[in-house]
Amino acid sequence: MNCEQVRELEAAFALDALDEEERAAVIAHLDVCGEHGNVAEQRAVAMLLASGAAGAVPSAGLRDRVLASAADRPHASNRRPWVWWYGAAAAIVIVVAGVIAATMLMSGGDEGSDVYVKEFETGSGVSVRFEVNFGETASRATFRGLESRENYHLWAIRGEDWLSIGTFRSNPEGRWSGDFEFQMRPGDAVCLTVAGESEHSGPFGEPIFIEDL
Amino acid sequence: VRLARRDRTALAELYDACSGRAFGLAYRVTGDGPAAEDVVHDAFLWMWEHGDRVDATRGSPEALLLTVTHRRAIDYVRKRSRQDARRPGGEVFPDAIDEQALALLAEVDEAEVRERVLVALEGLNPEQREAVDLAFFQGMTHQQIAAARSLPVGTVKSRLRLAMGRLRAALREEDSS
Repeated sequence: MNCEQVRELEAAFALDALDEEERAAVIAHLDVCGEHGNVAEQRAVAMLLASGAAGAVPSAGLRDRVLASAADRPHASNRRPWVWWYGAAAAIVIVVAGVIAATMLMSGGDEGSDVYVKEFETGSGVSVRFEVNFGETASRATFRGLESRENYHLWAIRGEDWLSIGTFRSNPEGRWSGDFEFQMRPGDAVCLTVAGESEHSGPFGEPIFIEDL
Repeated sequence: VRLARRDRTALAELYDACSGRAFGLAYRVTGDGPAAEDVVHDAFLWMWEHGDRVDATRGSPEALLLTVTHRRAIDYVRKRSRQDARRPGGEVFPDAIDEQALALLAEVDEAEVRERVLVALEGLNPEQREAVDLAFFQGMTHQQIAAARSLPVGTVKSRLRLAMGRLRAALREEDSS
């Protein structure tokens, strides 16, 4: 997608009116092109539209439900109670699934930061590529061989803590590529699971892979 | 800061201050009360679980909450229609553009600028206003709008672009006034 095409879609992007593929293409372009400075202004306008919507009163029970859920779900980094059994199950899956190939290389990044690239393929045929900027919040992941149109949840495992990186939906060809905002650290492992009904759910089902970075 | 420290009182206060607006937004997008409550529930939990990010983001927590609420509501609507159920990346974390937008709003009198934008919205011609409503408040993509109104996609893009141009002008009025 070139600058002219992106300019045509800036307003629709700001209003969340793009489909999955278009939105990803616009974001990919914005990541590398500095010619679209007014997109942030357009997003600010959209935020003002959101805050200008008329208020309404939810049911009385919603407040209690939110607070109860918060009590059940402290900070992602404090999610420990179920880590042990899940970690054990995950370890078994790693053995079963196996890693067919892993390639690690370091390449120089911009402005003195290193981009750590790791590529591997799981025993179930999922090809994975991570481009990680340690110390930075932006990294990139690419998956091929996923189920078509499935929701997935990407996790970082740091010590005993499972940290939610984010969810995504594979395209009809079972691929997904995109940036995620999460500060990876050396020693972190990454894990992919099928997403639960909510991103706030813990890992759901068996890990597709767990891999050290 | 209090959210990042896992202070549930802070979450309760945020809920009391913002739940009505969040629910109103979610209901307008989904048109479904229980679904809107689920959306609002998830949005508040997102704020809770990402308290450190909330604190690190410039701009009001309410603006961030409403951004998350809107994204989740859009996701719900598209999932319901079995089209474009979820988008990669942006649905979970407000992206870099969102953070820039929040920073812009932090530099202005948000209530005053919002009023100007809403006045400008009312001043759009009916076709432009409808395009904004269908896109932003009903979760339709520009292609869906084109199909629903039997219009060329280019026409819908133009309407959205022209509408956004006028709304942006309202955002920037403060600088020239």
